[in-house]
Amino acid sequence: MQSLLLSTILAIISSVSFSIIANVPKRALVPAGITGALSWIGYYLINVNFHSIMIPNLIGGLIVGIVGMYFAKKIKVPVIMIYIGSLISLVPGGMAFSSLVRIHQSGLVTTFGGLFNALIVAIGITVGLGISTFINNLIKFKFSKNKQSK
Amino acid sequence: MNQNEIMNVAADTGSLMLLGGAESFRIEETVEHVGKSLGLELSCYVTLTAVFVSADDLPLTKVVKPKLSGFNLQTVDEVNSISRKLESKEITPEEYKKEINNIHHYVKDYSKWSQYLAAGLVSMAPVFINQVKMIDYPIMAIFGIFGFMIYKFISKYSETPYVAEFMGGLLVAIFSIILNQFELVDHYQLIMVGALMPLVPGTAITTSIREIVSGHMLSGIVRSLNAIISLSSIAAGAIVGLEMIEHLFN
Repeated sequence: MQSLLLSTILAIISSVSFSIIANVPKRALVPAGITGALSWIGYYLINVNFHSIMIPNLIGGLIVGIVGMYFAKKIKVPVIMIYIGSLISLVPGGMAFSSLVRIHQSGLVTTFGGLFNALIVAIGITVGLGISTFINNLIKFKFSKNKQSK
Repeated sequence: MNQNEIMNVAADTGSLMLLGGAESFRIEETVEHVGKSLGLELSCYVTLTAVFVSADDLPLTKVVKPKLSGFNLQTVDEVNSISRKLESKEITPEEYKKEINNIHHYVKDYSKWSQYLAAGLVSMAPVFINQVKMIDYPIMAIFGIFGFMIYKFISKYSETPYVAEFMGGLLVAIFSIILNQFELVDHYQLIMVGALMPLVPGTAITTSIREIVSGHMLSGIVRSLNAIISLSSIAAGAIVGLEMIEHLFN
């Protein structure tokens, strides 16, 4: 529990900071932090209970997609400005790097295994974001249908 | 505004967005919308290193080749908001052209020091929460600031590509293994990974897969190749640093 709390605080800090490095407009910083925190909580809880690489990242990406889309509409920015910061705790950069660095200790098989895991993480996030777009389109479609029937 | 001017303005819009690090599909959409609202049907095609704009019914084409660079989403936001204003006819085409030129010459940035500080904070990666002690996080942050400063400094003055990434990896690795040699920390490898968090292209890997999935194969492949090369440069730097110090001490 304590580590969930601490890591969530770190996730908020990371999301806002990376948004600053990517030069995101000021009004998108707080939404990026909130989105990052929510997706990290989702990722963490599922990662503890499932022994899987794909599923926790899929859920993380899904939460980023849904919450990010909501904020992007609310503050009128392109949705990438929220994605960039809030995905930083999930993206597999560190993972890919650490498996490449250990190449001289653990050999090729482990290295390629690690790189493959990094690819799976990236695919998981992509699938999550894709599902969120699909859900969003579904909601939009439903709303426009309601409007027409009125 | 005549047709040539429209082509120029549309191409400028595209190259600004590409420099800011927007996704290819968004750039293509925006440029085509801008063309429509200026009164010339355009087709736009974007790879990561070039913007092609072509008029649909006339023999007019323009190619712009901006230099591959990092993110500056402030630019993307400004271009996006003024192109929306153009579409809803809040500003005239002449005003739009002026605004685009303004963005070209003047973009707001966060101050240098707040970016360095932010790099330090990004280095405190939440992934390692159960693997490192709390005392390791400040070390990561300091090394992260240091690595990012080196990276920025070298990429400003070096013409050779990927040297900045290499040097960043090298120096961070040297510092973390020196700490380990004096037995000050337990997990020097995790500290090194954390400190390099602002440099590794995790976001680029994910974006490239998103682009490939959404049908922008070429752009996605170029982006993933770029990510792989810069990742390998950082890793090569780190390996060189680690082995150097290990040989020196043993």
